[in-house]
Amino acid sequence: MQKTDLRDWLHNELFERVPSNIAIIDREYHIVEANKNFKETFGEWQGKLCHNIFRNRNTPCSSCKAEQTFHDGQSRVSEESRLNRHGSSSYYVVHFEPIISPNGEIPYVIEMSRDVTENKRLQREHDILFDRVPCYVTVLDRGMKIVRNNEMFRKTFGESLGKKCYEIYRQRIQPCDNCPAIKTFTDGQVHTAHKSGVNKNGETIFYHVTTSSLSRSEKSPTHVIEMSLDITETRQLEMRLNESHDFQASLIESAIDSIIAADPDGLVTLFNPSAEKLFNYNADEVINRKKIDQFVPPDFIDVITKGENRCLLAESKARNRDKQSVPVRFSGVVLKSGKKHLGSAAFFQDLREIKKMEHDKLEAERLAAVGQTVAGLAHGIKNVLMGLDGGMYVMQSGMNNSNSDLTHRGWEMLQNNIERISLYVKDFLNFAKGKTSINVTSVDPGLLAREVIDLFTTVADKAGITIQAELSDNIAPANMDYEAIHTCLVNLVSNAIDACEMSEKDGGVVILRLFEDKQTIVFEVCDNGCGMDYEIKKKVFTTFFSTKGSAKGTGLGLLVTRRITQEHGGRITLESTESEGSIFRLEFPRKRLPPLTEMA
Amino acid sequence: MNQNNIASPLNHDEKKILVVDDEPDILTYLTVLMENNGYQTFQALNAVEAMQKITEIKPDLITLDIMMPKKSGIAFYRELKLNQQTLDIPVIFISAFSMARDFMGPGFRKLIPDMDIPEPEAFIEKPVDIPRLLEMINKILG
Repeated sequence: MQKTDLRDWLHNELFERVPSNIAIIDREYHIVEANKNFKETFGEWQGKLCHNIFRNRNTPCSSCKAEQTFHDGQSRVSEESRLNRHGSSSYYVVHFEPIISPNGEIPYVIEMSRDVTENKRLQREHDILFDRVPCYVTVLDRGMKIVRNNEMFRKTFGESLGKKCYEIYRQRIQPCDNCPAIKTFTDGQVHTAHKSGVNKNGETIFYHVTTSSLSRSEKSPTHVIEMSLDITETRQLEMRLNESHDFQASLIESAIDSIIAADPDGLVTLFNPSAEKLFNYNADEVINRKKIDQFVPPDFIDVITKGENRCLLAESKARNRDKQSVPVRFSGVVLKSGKKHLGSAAFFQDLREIKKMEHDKLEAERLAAVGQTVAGLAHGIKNVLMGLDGGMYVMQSGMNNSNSDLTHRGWEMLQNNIERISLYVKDFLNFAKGKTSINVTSVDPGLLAREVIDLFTTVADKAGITIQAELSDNIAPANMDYEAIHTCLVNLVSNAIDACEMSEKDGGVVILRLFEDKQTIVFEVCDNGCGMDYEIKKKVFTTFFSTKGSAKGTGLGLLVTRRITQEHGGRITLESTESEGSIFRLEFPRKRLPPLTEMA
Repeated sequence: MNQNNIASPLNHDEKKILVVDDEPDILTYLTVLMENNGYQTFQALNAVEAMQKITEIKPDLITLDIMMPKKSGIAFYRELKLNQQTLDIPVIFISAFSMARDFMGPGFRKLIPDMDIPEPEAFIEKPVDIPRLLEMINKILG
């Protein structure tokens, strides 16, 4: 092949293979030559005008770039939308080059176009992403100046081009410590940081900042893109959540009640300081290590098993690490969110202090009763002393006047009052015995009442008094000192019989009632005897005296009864109406009854 | 003992004293003592009996125990002082209560807040100091 032929051949190859669509048009816009790529993109071209092909028009386009190049001989580049051979529109970058003849005329223009539709789309996507991404995006130069920013940034901070990022975000005059952008400028790597700043309204904002090099390989990039995500709202929610969490945690931590919570499998997840104290475990030893079942009463486990929600026990026991049983008030709840089972929580109120106070109060009342009794004893003794004085005086008087009746009466008075002294001593010793002798066994209250009734039937019959028993069946055995409660009932029934005897009315009736109401065992002794007027009623439990006249009683009976009742955690009440009778009531709440006396 | 009291002048124009106490021994003691001192005495074991006797005998003075069955001395005293017929009869309380102040002055007002009811003439504690009792009776009965 000759040199010229080779050149022509090479030029021809180049023309056909260059990755561009090439067409040559004349001044009438006829396409006079085109390459293979052109034909593949726009289809058959021979005999067609360029506007026929590109725009499907019959007249030249307004502002035709080829026309301008024909006119001024300048090269041009433009971006144009053209129809391809399938009739769909694409974007092309088009170069217009004049072909100038030796005489300076421009008979042809070369038109080279490249499809940039895909680039165009990517560009658009990038622009949307850059502007619409819900965070502040800036491009910084090495002087930390903002050279580009996105729409969201502009909305919050204004244009701000040329300003330093730390001036904008944090109103500072120097870069921040640990600035991630500076790190990226140094090592080209991606860095993140949490920063707080002030917006243009002076409000505190929190950012999550990511910085990234804009150059792919450089170690010290010239530009860094900085993306700051406003996490103020999240942070505020987080802070509120933390506050609420801290608030609840401190409530639980400082609660007087012991609180234990567990997950749905029963594994303990919360064990507050009160619980540590009550059960003698450290929270660390229990949380995620032990099951709640070990701490709560079995009743609560039943409740959970049965799918119920709540369990309230006014009085229950908690067993601590040393297997000691602590009296507690218990409340357990199954935790749910909608239908989802979240676990369970248990609350314990330590009753030891309350129990101790109750005990102390009873003890104080007992001591007060002792004090009153001593005062009352003085009252009784003074009567006896006066009786003795009187006996001597009357005897002396009889002797002086040689009146043997009077002498005899004086002697009798001395005897009476000496007898009364021994009665006082006996009763007082009985009263003063105190708590030491209490012997608690499981007692059938019905049986006990029946025995007291039997004891008095004969006495009552002789006095013409009816004695009746109204005893509820099926009263469960209770922890009581049999002898002591027996003494109480004997005292009350004996008082009631006396009251009937002393009454001006005939047909005395004494009723001993036994029933249980709300877990409280009640003994009632009613009489329709003389009753007691107000002044006596006021004094009944506060002073040691007898209203029975003569030497029949010391008045200690009721006080002994009260002491015993209190020792059983019970109380004694009285309803009395003058000349209509009295009702003495002994009430024993089961939960306050004493524990069984341990056998030696 | 107490010879001087027994032997004291016996002429009190037979003033009548009603002794009210639920203890027969004390009744005997007080009536013997008062009779030895020249007073005419009557006995009552309780308030009901006392009210009957008052109507019958119209006593010049009543000695009254406090703790008695059926009706206490306080209740009885209130009744006495609310009755026009018996209002003016002087009363001496004789009781084993040790605190006179519970029954005289402010203490008495706590027991009987009704201001229409006057305080009793005297309060004497058991066992009785005989010269003091006699002096008190003498003073009241003039």
